[in-house]
Amino acid sequence: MAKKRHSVFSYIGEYKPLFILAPFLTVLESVAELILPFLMGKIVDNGIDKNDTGYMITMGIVMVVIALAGMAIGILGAKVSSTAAQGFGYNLRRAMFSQIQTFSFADIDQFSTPSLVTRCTLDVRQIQEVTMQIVRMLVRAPALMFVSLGICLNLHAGLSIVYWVAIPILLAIIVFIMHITRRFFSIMQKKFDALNASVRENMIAIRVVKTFVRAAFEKKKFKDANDDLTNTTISASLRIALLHPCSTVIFNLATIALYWFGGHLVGDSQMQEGSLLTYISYLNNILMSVMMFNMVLTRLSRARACIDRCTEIISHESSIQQPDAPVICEKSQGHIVFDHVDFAYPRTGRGLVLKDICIDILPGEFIAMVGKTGVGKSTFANLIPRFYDPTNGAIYIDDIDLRHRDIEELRREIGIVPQQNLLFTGSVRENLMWGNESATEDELLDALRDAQAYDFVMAMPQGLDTQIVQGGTNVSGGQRQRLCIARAMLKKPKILILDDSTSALDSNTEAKIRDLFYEKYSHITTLLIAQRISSVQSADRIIVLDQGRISAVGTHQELLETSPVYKAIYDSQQEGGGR
Amino acid sequence: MAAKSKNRKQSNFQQLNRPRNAKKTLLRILPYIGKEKYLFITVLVMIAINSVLSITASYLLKPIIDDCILPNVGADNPNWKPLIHTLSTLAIVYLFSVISSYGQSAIMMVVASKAANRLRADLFNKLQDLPLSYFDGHTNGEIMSRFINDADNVEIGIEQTATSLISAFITFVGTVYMMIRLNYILFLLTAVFIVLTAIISWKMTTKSRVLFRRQQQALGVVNAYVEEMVTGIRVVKAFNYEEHVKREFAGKSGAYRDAAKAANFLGMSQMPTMNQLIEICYALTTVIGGFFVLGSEGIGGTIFTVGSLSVFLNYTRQIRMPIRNVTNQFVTMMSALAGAERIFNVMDQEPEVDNGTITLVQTESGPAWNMPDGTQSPLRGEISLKHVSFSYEPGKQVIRDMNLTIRPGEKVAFVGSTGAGKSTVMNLINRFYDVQEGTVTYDGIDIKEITKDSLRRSMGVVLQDTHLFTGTIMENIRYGRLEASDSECIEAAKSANAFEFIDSLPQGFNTVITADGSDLSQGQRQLLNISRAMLARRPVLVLDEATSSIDTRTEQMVDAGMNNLMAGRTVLVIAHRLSTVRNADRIAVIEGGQIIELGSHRELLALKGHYYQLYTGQHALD
Repeated sequence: MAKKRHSVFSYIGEYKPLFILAPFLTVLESVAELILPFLMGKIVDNGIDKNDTGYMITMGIVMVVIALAGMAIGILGAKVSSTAAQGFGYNLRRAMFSQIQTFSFADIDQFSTPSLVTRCTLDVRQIQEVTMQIVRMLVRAPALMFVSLGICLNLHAGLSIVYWVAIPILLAIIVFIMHITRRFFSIMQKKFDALNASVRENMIAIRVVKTFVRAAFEKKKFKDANDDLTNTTISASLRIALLHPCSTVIFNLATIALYWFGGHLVGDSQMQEGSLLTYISYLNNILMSVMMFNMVLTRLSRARACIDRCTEIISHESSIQQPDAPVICEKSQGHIVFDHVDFAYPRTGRGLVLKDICIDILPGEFIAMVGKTGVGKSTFANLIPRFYDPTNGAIYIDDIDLRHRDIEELRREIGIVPQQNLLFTGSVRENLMWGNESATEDELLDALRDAQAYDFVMAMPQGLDTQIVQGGTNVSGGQRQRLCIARAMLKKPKILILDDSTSALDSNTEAKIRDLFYEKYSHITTLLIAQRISSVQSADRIIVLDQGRISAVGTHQELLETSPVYKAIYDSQQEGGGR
Repeated sequence: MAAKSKNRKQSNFQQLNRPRNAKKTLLRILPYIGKEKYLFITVLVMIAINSVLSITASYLLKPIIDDCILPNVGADNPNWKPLIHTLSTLAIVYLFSVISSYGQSAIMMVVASKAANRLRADLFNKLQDLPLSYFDGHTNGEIMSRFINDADNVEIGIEQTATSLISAFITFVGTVYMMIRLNYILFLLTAVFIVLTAIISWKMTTKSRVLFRRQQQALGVVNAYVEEMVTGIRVVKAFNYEEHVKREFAGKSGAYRDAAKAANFLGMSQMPTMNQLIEICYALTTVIGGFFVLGSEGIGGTIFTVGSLSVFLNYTRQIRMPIRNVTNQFVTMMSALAGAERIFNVMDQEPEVDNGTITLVQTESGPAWNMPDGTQSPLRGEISLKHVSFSYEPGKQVIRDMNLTIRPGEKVAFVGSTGAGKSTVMNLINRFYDVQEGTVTYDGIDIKEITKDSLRRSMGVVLQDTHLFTGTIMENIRYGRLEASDSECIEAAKSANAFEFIDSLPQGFNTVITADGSDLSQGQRQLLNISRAMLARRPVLVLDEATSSIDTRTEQMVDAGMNNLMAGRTVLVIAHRLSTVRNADRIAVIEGGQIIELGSHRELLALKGHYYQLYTGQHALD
């Protein structure tokens, strides 16, 4: 896996000018504020002292105008800042979401869903806010500091040694505290993820929790995760909160030092008392800007973990890569060949799930697969659309190694009805359109009829426009399966994979759907994974999978005679059989 | 400064039209802070001490130059003792000030973290009591964002706003007092501007509340979408839907960006607007104050000099600080309140109705129902539906006038086409939903009179959708009976025929399952589910398509193990596979929410009705 680090800040993109403009508007706004006391001084010197009321009124008007200008600049700054920050956040979020779309199943397994969700939402917001702060303070704070330092050097270079001692110490303290807190923040994020996962798991399994009456147990579990998070948060907070008092101590000591050394200088008549006062008042300015810096850095250190987590996503190359020069499939027929395929799930540490699989599935063939629970049937199915790459060996569709094919083109040819049939929030129509975004009404209805879903969809008050809730939990399991089949049919695939996706259908309905593959869709290569012998016995060939290997291939009749494994499955389903 | 991520806002649609009550919400947050009453009081004391100390520090600074330094200018025998004395005092004052300021912010962080902790715990506990219909109506993302974003906002709000508001108040009152003492007529001008600023700020606040709420709603949509699509990414990939999903996401994300832009623009405009209003006041005060200096002999006896004017002007600028702090805290405060409101909104949901008084108790002769009058009657396992009707949505009846009595110890199977209402019957029996007409009785007792916990504790239910929790396989099985020993768990796995595959895993029973067990096959997960129910040893067992992904041979072995364990107990089975149901004592064929045929496998075949068609339909394809 080649790792290319992308910076999250490269997604500032077209908002760069605004990000540059924003700090200057902030500086302008403060300039407006700095001018007013100066003008006030003029009013006092030239107006009041000289009894010139005309001058007083004119300058008063000038001050009001400057204040109004400051207001306008401030509001403009708000506009620029919010546009830039939100635009950046939008770009970043979009980039991350798009990147996740390229992830392979193995990548998703690695990151885990809740963690991906947090990164796309929470982390991005955090980065966005920090960026805005940095931009607003980045110019203003140093500008203030350097001007003040310059004036002080001009007044008395020797006394400035107090600053040269104080500033490095202060910076060292800041760096040190950042260093000790950073670890806590990444731990805290992990605890946050854990809390998140615990809530999520509870929501998903709420029926299980209720049937086992485990509310008290779940509450305890949550309490542990919650307290864990709180404790880590408190330890992190107590450390980061040290920053403020530590820097205050330094500045207080500097103030005392200035009075002491400055006092002696004044005493020795090397310096005027007015200059000492100015020196001390500029200490305030320098203090303020280092504090501002401090604040931004604090935020940055907090955001550091978020930045890392987002960078991880943007820079994560999918473990399944689009080939550089994909081989174009001239004529797709749906011819599938497994050539000595081994497969083990990455990072699970478990052995091979599939071992030395060799099979040649002919175009238009209706092939079925049976085998015990956990034998690798779904894994076999997941290899065909290249959801995972084989550990050893190769898979060819229409004589091209899957790894050389354009992934999108490959998947366009394959219709898959997954075992865990999933529908999405939206109308029935929108869900079906997943199969074909440009499907006409007639095509939709046809697909529903083919999948034996027409009657129940039409019986719903809103028909095709009936709203499906997340996960499709408001329709029954069988209805969900039929909608998923219709969705896959609409794709008009060359290869159709039904991964135990008719299990919730009654046998009549299932038979009707199966008949389609002999008649209307006989040109489609169909892989049907099923438990019921009745579902598979009419297939052209049946693969019997046993302990990760193909133990037999043949027609129903052949297998009954040659495969003891198949015979045993058959017997178990016959009346009174098996026991 | 919170150690917590500063994130805010999430959505809920229903709340948008309702008028919001910030005051009520605030009052409800208070008890969460109030739990740490003594810490909170300590913080208040520290703020007060800190203010006094900073006043002392500035008071000490004033005479340093005049009294300690200037006398030494040009002196032959400079006396630095007064300077040493003052500076030492100053150092001590600074020391205490630093301690109190650290203490104040540290304690406030602890208070806020603990308050958020309690808020999350209460929210989670409340969720456990909500009926299933609540979860049907809300996406997981929507609910989760309350834990992620809203609780966090409240935490930041408590931590930051409380202290700033208090110190802002002290500074404000102090400054106003000094200004009135200097020149109360000039102060009237300042007062006009303060009121003006307050009104404008109030107007902006009201408007930005609406905008921030819109932003939260949009963010909620974005989060829910990410949740759903990342969860369903396998389907997204299978359908090459990446581009479509990205487009859709860009749309939702863009809507959020625009809403956030509008809200933040208004939020950020507030500061410069208020600042510069005070600056205008400053300009006017300079001019008008100048006329006072020129024209008057003083007001109220005191003479208004240029010096007084400059002091007064300093105060005018100073008064911005508390106002600015309050405004700064405004956005934080608003999102904290909005977050709290959304959390309280969940807490205000009606919990599952549970008016039952009859409980399940273990007696020497087995489980029994404990009546409110103290008498006990043994649990037999007779379940009876009498004229039961039910619909999830009004006007769409799923169960119509259903009558059925399941005898104690009987194994009854439910078959029927998908959507016929089989699972609904189970949902009614364990009261996931309540019947709308008719009654369900359990050993002759209306199930509404049994506490829900007891009712559910009397039934083992295995659902088709398998849900495992993060943890080891052993822990997942133990979920069925928390006090079960390891050997009991292993025994249960054996009777569920799950032992073989668990044992073949490198870590065996200690294999850690993650993310809803996605590295196990669907069938293996069902076997674990069944093991869990076997371990629970409930008097009644309900299997809702519990073996649909298990191959038929394994299923037979599971069945044998179950028969052993469930001998003499009532078992309800829902299945499509007729091989699963044919051994049942009676089979109920359900169509259109009614039982159309009822009898043993043989009886129903002899009837040559619907079941016969189903059964032979399967075999006709031989």
